[in-house]
Amino acid sequence: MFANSITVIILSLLVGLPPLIFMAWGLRTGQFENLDETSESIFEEEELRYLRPWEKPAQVSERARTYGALLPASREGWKKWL
Amino acid sequence: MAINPSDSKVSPPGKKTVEAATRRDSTIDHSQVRINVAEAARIDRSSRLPVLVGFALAILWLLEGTILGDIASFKFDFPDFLSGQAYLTFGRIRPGHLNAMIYGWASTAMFSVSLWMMPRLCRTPLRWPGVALGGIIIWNIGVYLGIILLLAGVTDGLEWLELDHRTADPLMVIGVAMVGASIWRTLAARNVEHLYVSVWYVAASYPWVALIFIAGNLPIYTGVESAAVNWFYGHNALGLWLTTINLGLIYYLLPKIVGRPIYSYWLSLIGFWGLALFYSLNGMHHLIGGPMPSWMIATSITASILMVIPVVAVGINQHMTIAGRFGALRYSPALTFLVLAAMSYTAVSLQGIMTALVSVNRITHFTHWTIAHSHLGVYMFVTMALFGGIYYILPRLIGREWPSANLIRAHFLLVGLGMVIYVVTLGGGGVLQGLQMLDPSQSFEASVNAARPWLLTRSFAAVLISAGHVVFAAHALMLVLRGRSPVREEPPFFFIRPVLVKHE
Repeated sequence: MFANSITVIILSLLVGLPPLIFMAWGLRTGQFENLDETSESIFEEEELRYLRPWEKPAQVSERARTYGALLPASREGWKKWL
Repeated sequence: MAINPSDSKVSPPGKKTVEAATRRDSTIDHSQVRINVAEAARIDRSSRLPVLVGFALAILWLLEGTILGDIASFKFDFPDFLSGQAYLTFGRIRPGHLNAMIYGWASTAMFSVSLWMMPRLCRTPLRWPGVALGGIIIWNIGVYLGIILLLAGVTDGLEWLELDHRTADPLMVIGVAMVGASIWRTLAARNVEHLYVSVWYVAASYPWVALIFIAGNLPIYTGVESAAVNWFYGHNALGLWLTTINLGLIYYLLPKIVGRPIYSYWLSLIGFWGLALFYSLNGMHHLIGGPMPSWMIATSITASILMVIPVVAVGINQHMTIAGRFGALRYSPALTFLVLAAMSYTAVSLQGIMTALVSVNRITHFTHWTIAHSHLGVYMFVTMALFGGIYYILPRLIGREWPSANLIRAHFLLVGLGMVIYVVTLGGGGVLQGLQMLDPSQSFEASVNAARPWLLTRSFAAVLISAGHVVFAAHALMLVLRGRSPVREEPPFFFIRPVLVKHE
């Protein structure tokens, strides 16, 4: 029975072990630090400062508090993000 | 790692050392510097050609795969339908449909998505775009050749691995390796220190898919081992290729469109690493009841149940990111498709975990439930995410907005309604079929008859979905052809009364 399954064991290790090595590399190089900054890294300049028409007043206030004075949602401004 | 200046006094630094040090010093601290719109557009331009060619080929495959799928579906209702020629028989048409959709449509569109996303996330132009373009073309030649041979009767005879291992598969390996080389070269040249979670997903996908595809297609396995490797490949192709690229896409576009960072970046990492470390053990649950070592099946079932951790982590994270902001769906068709895809990912994953349980599997195995389940995953999750990605990416690369909001609405309603009917009716019908098959007082014919109304409903749903694909392809063509006439003044998406809900 074991002879019939050794291939799958080897293949599973080939798929599963490299992530372990990369995880160790990530820990060593600080990839899992500064999580907030990393999560915001996908946004472009001022992208988070635009008014969103679907947001409730409390959400608008929170956005202004977190990211600074809000910018008007002009047509051209919105085309970029949606 | 800090650079010790005294090192240079001991021996002159080599070119590679200087390049590495320069890159480390010039990498961007996310908290201080953001990319601007012009730079994002410049980065987009670097990947424009391979991305557009990939999307064009993918949409052609979508139409071809749809035709094959429709024919296969109607054969259940009318068994003599198009049965005069061998290449039109169910045994060839059905795998033709599967391969056209998985390798033609989904994989080619995923090449484009990753080639567009990776340079943006690494904040550097795409490296080796010509290699990536060549890879996409070679991959597609391989798939095309494989499906032609498949319809002609040349097949490897293993599910998801039907394409000929002597002609089609080597071309596909070369193709994916070339696209992957471009992706990893871009990653190596990145201008950021920390890798966003989408980078982990996309970068890991390419070595994974190359490895499992080569391993699965080696013509050296026999008997039980062949079945085990077959499902090692089949399940990992779903989890470590189709899932990963599309989760990376959702993790990128969902926060960007909603305009807020992902709810918990930590949860997103748990989702990725849980998948990366434990997913490869899952495939054997397809062989429950087969002549496999019992520990192998038990290990696979255990690993499948453990997947609830990354799945729930991803589900909570994506839900909480959009929670309270569902109104955004009215403004962005891309977001509408992506949210539906994200919800479907959670649903299909939990459904898959449940199906791995022996008591459930006993009923659902060998029934149409499996087809409903796979369409929930490969269509409602993967294809919907790719539609969302294409709706977002194409206007940015072509420089024009989509011509018609009505056509987007029609596309969404047709494919959304079609898939809901498809999954619900065929899933329910599959359970009824399974219960009939387990009832010793019933003949096999009774289980076939029990499934017939559900199969007819599935064919109706397939027609709706096909109409949606035609609308989508025609709309994409309109978007491209509009450039030949003066561009009309159209409102941007911000002003579109979005997909389903009336604007207040």
